[in-house]
Amino acid sequence: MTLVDESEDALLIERLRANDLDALGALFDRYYPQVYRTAIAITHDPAVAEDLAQDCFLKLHHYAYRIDTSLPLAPWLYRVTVNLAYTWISRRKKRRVSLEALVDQLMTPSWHAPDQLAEHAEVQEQVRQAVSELHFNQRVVVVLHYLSGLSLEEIAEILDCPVGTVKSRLYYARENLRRRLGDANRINEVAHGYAGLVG
Amino acid sequence: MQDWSDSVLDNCIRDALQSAVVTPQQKRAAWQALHERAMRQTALTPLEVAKQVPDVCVNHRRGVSGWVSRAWRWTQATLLDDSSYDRAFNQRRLLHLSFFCDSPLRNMVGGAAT
Repeated sequence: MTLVDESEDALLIERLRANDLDALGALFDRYYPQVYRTAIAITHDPAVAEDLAQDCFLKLHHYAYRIDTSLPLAPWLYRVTVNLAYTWISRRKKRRVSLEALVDQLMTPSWHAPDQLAEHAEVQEQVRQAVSELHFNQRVVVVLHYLSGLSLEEIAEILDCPVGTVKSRLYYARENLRRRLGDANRINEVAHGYAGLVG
Repeated sequence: MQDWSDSVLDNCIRDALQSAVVTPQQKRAAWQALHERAMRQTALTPLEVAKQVPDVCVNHRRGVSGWVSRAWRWTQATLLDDSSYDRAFNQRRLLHLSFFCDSPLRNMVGGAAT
């Protein structure tokens, strides 16, 4: 995100404050893929991710006057997305704990892109499934770090916690993923399959 | 071996998470739905910033009223109010009577003497 983009974001937010929905459209064009991918990586549910992404941009419209335009917009959007996802997961746990595994299993095939190779898709699905089984705090850190490419300091600012906490969560998340995906040999098998597919 | 596994794990995670596809049709449908909802929604108004009132006059008034009230309390306590004198006098008489008539100390000393 460059300074030009940030200043453009600030101008678009200024227009949005005047209820200019075209400005909202421009911001939507720019950030929707990131917000959607973040939401789906946390929730593991495409329909919910679409709803959360829409809610996120509705909040952008609603709180346009309360947003500090001197700061980059992306961290604000990530924070809102994470909070919305947390709320959704908390409610889902209360409502249908016993159906969670079944629903996840039913929703899983929608992740596959039709043109992807089956083996590659299987590896990706294993990783996504493992990520979705992480504790929420660890999952969020993994998503923001690997998907959004944010630094530990940026994640700490978004989650409003110390950098050390983020570092610790990322470490334990990786260890959990390593364990869930199997032992070192299993990971190497996946790696060779992955390397072969990518190469 | 460990470094290789770490880097492989990092690549696997990154690749798996970034593979979610956002199609133009999906984006267009999402925007239409968002646009409709945003048109029905009212945005928040800007926060009112409280105006700073110059407090020179307020401080001056507080200073004068404080000085007047302190002067009034001093005048009342020294010249007009003799309740404290009465209270001290009455308590002194009560203390005198109770000490010599009903004091437990007196009974104790008297009991010990007898």
